[in-house]
Amino acid sequence: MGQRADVADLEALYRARYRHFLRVALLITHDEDGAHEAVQEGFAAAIRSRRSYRGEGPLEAWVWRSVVNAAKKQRRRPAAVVPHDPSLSENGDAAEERVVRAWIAALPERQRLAVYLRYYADLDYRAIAAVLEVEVGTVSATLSAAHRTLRKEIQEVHP
Amino acid sequence: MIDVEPLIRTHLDRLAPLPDASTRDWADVRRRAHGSRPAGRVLVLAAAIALLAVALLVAAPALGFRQVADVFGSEPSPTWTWPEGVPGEPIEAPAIVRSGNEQLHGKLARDRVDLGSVRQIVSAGDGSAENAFLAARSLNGDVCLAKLGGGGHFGSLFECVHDPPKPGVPSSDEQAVFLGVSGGGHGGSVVDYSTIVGVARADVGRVELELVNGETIELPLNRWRGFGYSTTDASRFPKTLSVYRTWSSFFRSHEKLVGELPLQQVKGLEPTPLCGGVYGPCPPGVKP
Repeated sequence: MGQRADVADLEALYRARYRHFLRVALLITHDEDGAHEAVQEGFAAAIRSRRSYRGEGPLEAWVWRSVVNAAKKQRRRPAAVVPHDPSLSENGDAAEERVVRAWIAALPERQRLAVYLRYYADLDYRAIAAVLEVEVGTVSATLSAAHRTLRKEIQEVHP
Repeated sequence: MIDVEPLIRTHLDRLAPLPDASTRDWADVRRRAHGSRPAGRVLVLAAAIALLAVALLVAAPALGFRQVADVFGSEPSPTWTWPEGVPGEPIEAPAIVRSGNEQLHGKLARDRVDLGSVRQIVSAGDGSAENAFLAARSLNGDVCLAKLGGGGHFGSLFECVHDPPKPGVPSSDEQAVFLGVSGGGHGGSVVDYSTIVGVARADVGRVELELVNGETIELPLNRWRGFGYSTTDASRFPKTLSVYRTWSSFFRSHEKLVGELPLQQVKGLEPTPLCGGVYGPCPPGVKP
């Protein structure tokens, strides 16, 4: 990738990764129309400001930042509160999946975004740091904290 | 040590599969990129500015020399501080709390608590349906919270909150509430009670619960900002919990939704009435 973003590069990224952008936008906005709007606006903003891209990081990370910011603006509902659930161990099957679902809902916003970008967008720590505008070490600490929380929850249902 | 990464990858795709690409439209992106700000948005912005100007003009004589913050009210910042330090009624640390405390080693050791400082913030439900939230002082001086469920037969480890948040310390400071939700029954497929206990952040002034029957009730916060709810009536099982930040200004009281949890979707439990024995026949497929 060169030191600037061409519209053709952005179009190729859009066509290749649209569904991934849409999924993360949907998880942020909780709204299909809002998610589509966020992806469209995020890419439109990337085209408008493409000359400000200096190639310091991956182009995809730069676009993710634009789409994530657009999705935050589209968000209609607040983040979910914490579901700590002592009864999970009583209910057997699918307990792990429930724990993961509850864990996602319970994460603070920055940790949740980092998880989305790591596991849904398949970004590495450096790219996630660029999207969230934090240090790579912060991403590492953030994801470690999220993992630790999940590990504790899993240990509660499978002691 | 559980390796959670494979677990996350396994479940996340199932929880949120890739959507279809039917709405993909690059031409629309190009139009947006080259178009100007939508006229509607400009009009709304202009109207909002005009309204604000008029409101200031009308209100100015009444405001006198009041500070701007007094007039408009300051939205409170999130904080987990309690005036008395560790909140709740002093209790003897339950056995499960003692054993959990002993298991905190390594990095988790920072969440160990002084067992002499354990207090109970709130409890709800009876017998095995009883849930409670406890508080204690960590060895570092932080306030830590833990939940007990099943009438005290199981519980979580203490998790500490920090004011202000400590850099690099994983915490739940950004959460509006800590919540314990318990649903269970006398048979594997039957859910005949539902209990909720929670502790709210200091900026939270109102907690609201929507029930399965459509009714919405307010869960009062006790002096330590604890709240609870328990029922064996399936029509009154909890459906959605809403958490509001509240504050006041010269003009009026304000509130803002800062958390919302669809409880049954998260739990994956459907309410089932008590059945069998004195309760009468069970619905098809439900064992007493």
